Parts: sequence; structure tokens; C-alpha cells
Amino acid sequence: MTQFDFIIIGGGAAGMTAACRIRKGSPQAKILLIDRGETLGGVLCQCVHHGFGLSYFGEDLTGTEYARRLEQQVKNASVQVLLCTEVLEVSPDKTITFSNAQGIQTCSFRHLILASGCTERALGSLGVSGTRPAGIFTAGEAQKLINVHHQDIGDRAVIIGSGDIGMILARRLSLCGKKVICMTEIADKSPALSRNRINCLEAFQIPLFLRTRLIEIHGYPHIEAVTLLDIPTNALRRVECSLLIIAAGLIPDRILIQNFFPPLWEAAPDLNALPKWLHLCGNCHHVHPIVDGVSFQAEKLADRLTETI
Amino acid sequence: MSSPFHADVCVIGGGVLGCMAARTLTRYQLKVLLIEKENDVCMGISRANTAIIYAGYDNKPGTLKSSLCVKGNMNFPSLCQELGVPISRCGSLMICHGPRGAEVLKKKYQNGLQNHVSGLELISGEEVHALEPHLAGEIYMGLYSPNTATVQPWEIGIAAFENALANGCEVRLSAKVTDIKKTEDGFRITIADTSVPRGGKTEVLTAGGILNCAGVYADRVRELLLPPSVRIYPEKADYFIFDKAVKGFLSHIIFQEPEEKGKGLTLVPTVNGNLLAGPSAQGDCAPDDVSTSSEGLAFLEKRLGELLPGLPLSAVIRSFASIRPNPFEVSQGKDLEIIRSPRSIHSFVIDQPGDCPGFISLIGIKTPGLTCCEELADYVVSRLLPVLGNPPLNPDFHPRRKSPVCMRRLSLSEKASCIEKDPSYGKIVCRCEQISEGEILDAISRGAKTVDGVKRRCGTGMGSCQGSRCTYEIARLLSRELDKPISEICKDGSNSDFIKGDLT
Repeated sequence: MTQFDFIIIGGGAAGMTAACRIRKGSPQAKILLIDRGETLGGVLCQCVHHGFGLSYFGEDLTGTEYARRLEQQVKNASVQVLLCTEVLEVSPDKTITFSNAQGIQTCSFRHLILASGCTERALGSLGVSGTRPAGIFTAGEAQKLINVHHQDIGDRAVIIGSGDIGMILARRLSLCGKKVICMTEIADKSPALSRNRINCLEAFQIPLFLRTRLIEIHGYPHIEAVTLLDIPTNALRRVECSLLIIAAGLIPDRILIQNFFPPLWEAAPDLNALPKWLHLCGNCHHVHPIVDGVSFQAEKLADRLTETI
Repeated sequence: MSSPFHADVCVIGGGVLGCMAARTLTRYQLKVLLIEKENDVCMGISRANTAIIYAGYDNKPGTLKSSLCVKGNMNFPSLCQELGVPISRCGSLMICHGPRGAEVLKKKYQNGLQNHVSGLELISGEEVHALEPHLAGEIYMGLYSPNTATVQPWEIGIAAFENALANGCEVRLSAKVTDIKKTEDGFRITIADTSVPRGGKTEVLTAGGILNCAGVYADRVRELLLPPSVRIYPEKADYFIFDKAVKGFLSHIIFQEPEEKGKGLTLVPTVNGNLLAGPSAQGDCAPDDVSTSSEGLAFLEKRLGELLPGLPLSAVIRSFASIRPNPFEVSQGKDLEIIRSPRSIHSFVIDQPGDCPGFISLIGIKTPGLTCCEELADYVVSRLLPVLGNPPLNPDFHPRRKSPVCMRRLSLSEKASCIEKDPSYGKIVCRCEQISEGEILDAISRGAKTVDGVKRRCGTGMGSCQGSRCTYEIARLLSRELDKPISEICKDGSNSDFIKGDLT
């Protein structure tokens, strides 16, 4: 069995930054960085908009540029990288088992850094009634389809949730010539950065309905409309659409370590209860509003770990 | 003009019953054709129900339902083994909260004894709590049944379908029966292509016999040839499915018998490891209505809050509606209007008219239809065989379907040898359920044509992200394997394409 000092699961901003920083503090350490994708970068690869790196690199970069810079650093840091590789299991005997086209392999480690990012809150947990037609996507899924695969997914969109991801997607759809009919927010205020509210929503005159909940989906086999509830007045509003985007928030993806860390759905689990060898890094630790924060957190974690060696 | 396609028997409807009947027919030297109006089998009642293999204590002793159900329950594990489908014989607890419910449980217990259901036990509320510590509230009594089991219902149908095909059955998918005429030696059936939105071309077939297994549409299919006598008035109910991460809440199927009037909840720890909760109170609906209702979902939330208060509703990953084909006797008034009798028919309706014995209809096969699927198939086939001149057995019939590879159920060394033979089994596509590209390609080679067809055959998209991370990759594999542009790949039923094409 191959042994590593550090195994990092997830080759996004958190995992790449942590790998490079560990190398800096510990020139001899054996480091393995694993990602399921065909390239490093994680969710950054689908972020073609700018606003990344202002504090970490001191430059205004796109998400893809940010990823390529970190990727170059990983290359220079002589870190072993495994792509197209899915980690199947993390075991308490300090081993992981992963799968790829070459087979199944188990490796041991001294420290495991989980940098697996987030998943998106799916429609199922929102308590929405009605049909389940074609034409419903999560915001991240839609962003990947548009920016990475260049696919057209629909013309008239309603976006549920007014966080940054929803905002960015609203702008992207508008720039593709699509109509964003409205965006809804359950709270009385959008949680998005104000620059996104101005540049993505106001610039395209997209109405934002606050205190509004999605309650029903209509149409089959394609989506035709949604019913929205205005919470203060209980008034219902039917909005015709051909595309529904769920941008209802992110959940740290800790499925691989759920056995150490139940239960998954708890909002604020006790991170101190983790085994000493297991470290959470980036958005799977907590959701960061900007990627620079992820890199800074990864550096801090890496410094702490290399100091103890 | 070439002569029309002829089958000895046409099975109309590719749900669990139709697939099972087609398979049973291939045990004989018969040319069998299965006709299904959707683009895949198991698209109706079969894919959305409570997924339970009932023990048989609910049904009135001496009825066809009770005898088929008890037999079906006993035989189900071997059926699953033959068809390579997983089953969980987790047992069930029927629970009640007071003396009124206890009378119901005692009645069911007595029914069960008369029906020869084995292993039944009436147990105290404390014993129920000991078996299921997460159940909240006062529990007065429980009826324990060790033989109640659960399967993924569509898996049974699809496996039976694949086995029927392997034994020579032919199939027409996306084909709706629009006309049936009686001929001298059988029937003339007209089918229309449903794969195009405004109705495609039609085809005329001939058949010696017909098994009408058209589910919620079985009454309409019957009335293409016969005057109305039974009509289905479908009812709808809602269900929740919980994230697999919600572990350890229940180990048995729970049937709740409420003390006050109203519907109790059924809770099922599924074969796949999810918790299924439902059904909500039933309501009349259109036969093609698959929408959930906010009342239904609110009912489930309320009942779950009472029964399993620790269960987080934020862990619901999907809600869905199921349709029950509720049959009613009907007569025709003087203006030929349909008069519905006040009460629904409690038993399975198996209609074989004396003057047209070659046309058998299964109507209103609701609970425990899944449990009885093979027995019902045997039953109707045995009634059809004499009409077909008692054909000899098919010596080449092979009852087994090889279970498809399911990577997450294999040991590490088994996984490794799978990947060595075919590297695509090492590439995980569905992260939530850890399903590999190899399993998806296998599902496509077994007949999946849509994203949800792949889902029903290998379990992709059934995890917490509900396919948001793998749908496109699966669509791309479908596009490649079926040699179709991705814009023509459907999510589910006909015309449910979800990608318009390249962005311009």
C-alpha cells in the first residue's frame, strides 16, 4: 500500500492551494491530490466571469484564470495528482480507497484534507408541489451546461434564490439573449454581494421578488409555469416560464466522511469532534462568499499542519 | 401489400403486470407481442407506489386477493432471485394509538391466521418501541409481520421485461392501441406511434388473444371492443423520499392505524437505503396526473412530525405522486351516459367475457397488485391458454435474468476485477450513488433510451443531488450510444427533451 503524508481530496481552489502551501512548508512531504474531474479547478472551471483573485493574487481574474494559476503552482510544487478518480471510502484506519479506469487502489495517509466543496440544495428539499417536468436545473448545473458545454437550456427563466450564484447566472442567461423573467428570494433581503446585485440584476432590469416562495410547478413533459407565493400577503402569482433555476443555496459536501460526522443535514455540526488526522478545507468547511477566502483558509490550514511536522 | 404482423398474444401495457404476463406467456410456444404507449416499460403505476410486498393479512379470507397475496409473498424472494432483483425482507409493524386501532389490528391478525400468513404476532406498545425506538407518541399495540418485504417495483417489471425479450417476446414501445376489432380467428389491433407530439403513423396487427394490462387505462382499452361495465376513477397520493444519509430511523416497514378518522402513514426503509413516507390522503385525479399537491405534502409533514419527530424534513430529496386505479361498476343510462355505482370494487377485476374469451382485461389492480404480479400473470395466462388451443411448453424458456453489475454492492476485489475487464466500471458518473459509466452503458445496452430509463435500470440520479451533477453526462452517453443528437435525448417520457442544442 502506498503511503502519503498528506492526501487531499478535491482539486479546486482549496485543495490546490493547500497542496502548494504544504509543499512550501514541508519540501519532503509526500502529497497526493485527487480530483474526479478531467482537469484541476473544480467549480472554478465553469466560472467565466471575473471578480476572482482581487485579494489573493491582487488582480481581477476570471474563475478559469484563477484555476489555471493555481494549477501551474501545483505543477511546480511536484505534487502527485490523480485526475478522473473518485474516492469511494475514507476509513478510520487512515486509508482511503479510490476508483478510476486503472482500477481500485487503497492508500494510507498521516493527514487527510477534505476539500470537496459544496453541493447545491436540490428542489426536493424545498417542499414544492406540482409536476417534475424537463426544464429544471440547479444554478451550478445550468452554469456548467452553458459555460463548459455551450448548451442551450431554455429561453424564459425564473430563478429561485438570490444569492451570488443565482445573480451570476441571471447575467449569463441575459448575455446569451435569454429572458430572465424574475428572481425570487425567501428572505426580506438578497444575500448576494452588492456588486453582483448591481451588475447582474439591476443592469439587466431583472425584477427581484423578496419574501417570495416557490410553491408549485406546472406543465409536463416540459415546464410551463410556476406559482409563487408572496409571503406577507399570501397572494399567489403564476409566472409562465420554460426554464426553472434552483439557486437555493450550497451545502458543504461531506458525504465521504459522514460516518465520522453525522448527521449531514445539520446546519452547524461540531467540527472539533473530527478525528485528529481529518481536516476540512474550503467550502466543505464552510461556504465562503469569495474564492480568495477559500485560498486564505487553505493556506492557514496548511501552515498549521506543516508546523506540527 | 404485406400481411400485418401477427402475434398469438398481444399484451397491452408494459407495467409490472404486463411485463410479468409477457414473460409467463413465453413459457409456452407462443409468439408474444408487448405493446406500451410510453417510450419505456414501467412508466405508470409501476414506478410510483409504496413498494411493499404485503404478507396478506389485510385481505378478506377466501378471496382471490388474499390467496394470491399470501402465495405471492411466499414466492417473491425466489422470483427476485430468478430475475436478479434485490429484495429486503425487513418485516413490518402495524401500529395503533388506542383501543379503536387495536380492534383493527386484532381483526387483521385473525384475517392473517385464516389466510395462513405465517409469523404474525400481536405485540405491546412497549415492544414496538423497543423494536423501533425512534417512533414517537403513545403506541398502544403492534402487529408484527416478519414476511412483509420491499423491492424497487420498476426493477421487477424491467427484469421481467428483459427476461421476456430474452425468451422471444417482441415489443412495440411508444405505441398506443387506438382500435380493437374482433375477427373470425382473433383480433385486429390498430396502434399509433406516440413518439411524435401530434400523433404518428398507425400500424395494424392481428392477434389470437389479448391480455389487457393497461393499468389506469385498462377500462378504456377494454371499451375499444366491449360495452362499459367497469370504469377506473383514479386516485392520487403523495410521497416523500429521504436522503440516505438519514440512517437508522427505522428497520421495519411501519403501517400506522390512526385512532381518529383519517389516513395513517406508511413508512418504508427501501431496498436502496432511503426512507419512503406516504401516501397522503387520496383524491380523485386524471389518469395522467403526476403532480403532487401542497395539501398532500402538508399532510405528510404533519404526520411525520408526530410519528418520527427527529426526522429532518430538510433531508427530503424528492416528493412524488402515485396513482391508484380505483375500479367502479358502471352502467349506461338511457342516453348512454355512464352511471357510476356508489362504492368501488374491492377485488381485482379480471374480465373475460363469455362471448369473447380471448380478450382478458385486468382492471383496478391496486394493492397488493405488485405482491401478486407473478400469480396474477399465471392466473390470466392459464385462463387464456385454452382459448389458444393449449399450446405446448417452450422447451427453450430460460427463467433467469442475470443481475446487472452493481459496483457499490461488490467487494473491493470484485470491483477491481470488473474494472480490469472494462475500465469504464472504474469511472464514477453518479457520485451520490457511486454508479459507474460501465453500469450506465450496460443499462443503455439493456434498453434505456432516456435519462430516467437509465435511472430505473441502474439507480443513477437517485441520491441527494437528484441528478443535477450527472444528468448531462448520462445524456451524453445516451447520445453517443444511440447515435442521436443530445437535443433529442429525453429526460423521461416522450418529448421531454431538456437541451435545445448548442448555444448560438
